Amino acid sequence: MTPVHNKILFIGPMGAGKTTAIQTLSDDMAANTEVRNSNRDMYDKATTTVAMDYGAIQLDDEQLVHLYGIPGQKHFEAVWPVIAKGAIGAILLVNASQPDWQNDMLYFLNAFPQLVTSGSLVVAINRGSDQQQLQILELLSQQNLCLPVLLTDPRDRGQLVMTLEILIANLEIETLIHE
Amino acid sequence: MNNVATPLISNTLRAACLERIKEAQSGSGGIEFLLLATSDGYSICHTIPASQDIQPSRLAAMAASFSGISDGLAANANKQSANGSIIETGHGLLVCRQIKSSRHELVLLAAYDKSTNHGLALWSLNNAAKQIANVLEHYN
Amino acid sequence: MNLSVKTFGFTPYEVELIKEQIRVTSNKTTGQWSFEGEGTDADLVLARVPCQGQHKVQVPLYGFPLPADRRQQDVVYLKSEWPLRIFGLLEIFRQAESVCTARTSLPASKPAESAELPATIQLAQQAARIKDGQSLSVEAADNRCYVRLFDGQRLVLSNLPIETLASRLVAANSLRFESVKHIDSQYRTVTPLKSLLWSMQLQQPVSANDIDNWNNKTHRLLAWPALGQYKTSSFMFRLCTLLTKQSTSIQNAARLANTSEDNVVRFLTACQLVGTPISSTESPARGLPDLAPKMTVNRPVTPPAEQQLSLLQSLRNKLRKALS
Ligand SMILES: Nc1nc2c(ncn2[C@@H]2O[C@H](COP(=O)(O)OP(=O)(O)OP(=O)(O)O)[C@@H](O)[C@H]2O)c(=O)[nH]1
Ligand SMILES: [Mg+2]
Repeated sequence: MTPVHNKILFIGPMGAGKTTAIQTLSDDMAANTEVRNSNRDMYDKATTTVAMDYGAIQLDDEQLVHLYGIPGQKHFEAVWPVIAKGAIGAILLVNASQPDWQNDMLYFLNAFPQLVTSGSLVVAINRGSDQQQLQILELLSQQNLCLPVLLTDPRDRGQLVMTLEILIANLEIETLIHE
Repeated sequence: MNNVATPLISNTLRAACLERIKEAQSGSGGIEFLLLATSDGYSICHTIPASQDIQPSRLAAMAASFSGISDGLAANANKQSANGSIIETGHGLLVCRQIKSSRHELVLLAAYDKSTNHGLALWSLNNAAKQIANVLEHYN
Repeated sequence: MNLSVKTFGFTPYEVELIKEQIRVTSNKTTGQWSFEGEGTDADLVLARVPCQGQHKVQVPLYGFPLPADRRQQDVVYLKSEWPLRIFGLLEIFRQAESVCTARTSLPASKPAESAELPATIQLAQQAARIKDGQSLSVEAADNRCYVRLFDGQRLVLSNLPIETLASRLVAANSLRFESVKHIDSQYRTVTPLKSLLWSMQLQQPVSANDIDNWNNKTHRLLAWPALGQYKTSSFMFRLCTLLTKQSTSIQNAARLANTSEDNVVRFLTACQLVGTPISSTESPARGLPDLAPKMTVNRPVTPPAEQQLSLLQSLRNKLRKALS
């Protein structure tokens, strides 16, 4: 029997809020691999993810939806495909208060081409403005990419749910048109 | 997204650590190389010969990931936290050991040749780790 | 020919430099180019950050690599290097002049009788005419609101929540417009005009005429609308997904997104009103399936569709439950 795919991936640069988002969405305490951040120049926060985040949403019928987060720092790039394997969709988090955030976003789109070409990816900007949301939509269309872009605070469950709803709609349509 | 050198490790500390891992390697047989990294995956020093086609920065990141997973696995199995972990290969062992001081959290990775057994490998790596821990206390 | 140029997203220092460069080129161009400050409504926009707006030509100077074949409907993009040089700027002006001449010689469409149009379209047309700093009073039955152009953005000032205002304007159907100087301070709810137009359009009754406009063609969205700035629901998410993936007829869109044809028409018109680019293609015959050319993408192995869909549905239910 082919298993139903049920893994959603959270990607994005350091400090974008992947660990935070998975904590917010998980039914139980999410598991993570946080260690002390020795590179406060890169991003000033106490800890950083070195391998993965893991959380789950329990559905009524005993099924689980697995939430995986990657370590965002670029030197962990070799780990990304390991964590990403089998994911049906992804939320790309970007922190618009970081200096090079637009290029960071493009970097991650390049690193996960499969999720981008199948359209199974939602861009979730945090600490950004309506204006920045429009900028990103414009930037994507100039790259010939057509992806949903939202403003999302990863500490806010309601906003994350909206992001997931869009991903679900995306996956439903993908499933239907490839049936 | 440039990789910046880790700011918390001073050059003197780096040099002292390099000294210790070189000693450790020459003092016990079977070690192919040692690599010391921060727990968030930045290489501090290593003894990987330039002739070998190995990228120390990549190895540092993966050793940190591996240690991170080991810790997570231990915690989720109610074993609190991991001290180290072992990878068995057909070409010898890879062993990670975590080293913590009040200011630093590091990972020491050692690669052994095919002839070295588990006991020997763990014993020699423990010694090396103790030496490094000593250095860390000194420079705190 | 009088032409306007604006900059967008530059530092004040950079703006000064550009202003000076434009001054230097002033007697070397065919058209009369005047620099009109920062903004996105001009014939030509030099942009340091990606932007949309009422302009014919844009020179993107963001420092991002851009692919050659960009799909943008109304805006022509010209390549140039940053920092600008005088010769580069002259070349931009020369090319922009030819674009603008070509555009202005197109026949202007006949202005329609505004009273016959749906309320949403009446409002969109009237609001498009106001100039910076001006205000427009909009009256419908016993309700009133104002539209004001502020800093290049059209804003609605109202004393009602936006959704309530939208339904009252649509219900009233015939709107009265008047240019005004003063806005009463009780109109305190400020919303972008686009959000109001979107909400109105999605409540607007659909006429046979509206359906005709979209029928016998397939439609494709070239970008997602700015979600979050507009009121959305899950059928719209499905429509967005579908229509950004492939050009689809309104009938097939309704079927696949599990909604009515009227909703598809409302949605497409709403996208049009807020400036989401849509490309429409004549379809050979009514009712033919337009799903044949599938996107060729690398996809992970698809499990049985039914199971996958039921998992997604349970996830959606769970998420909604958790929120309520
Ligand atoms: N003020 C504010 N803070 C936010 C917002 N989103 C995230 N944060 C904070 O930003 C930080 C994000 O950190 P993490 O969740 O660890 O980031 P990460 O993406 O997992 O980073 P790495 O694991 O290092 O790659 C947290 O401290 C969040 O509380 C936001 O929208 N507003
Ligand atoms: Mg993290």
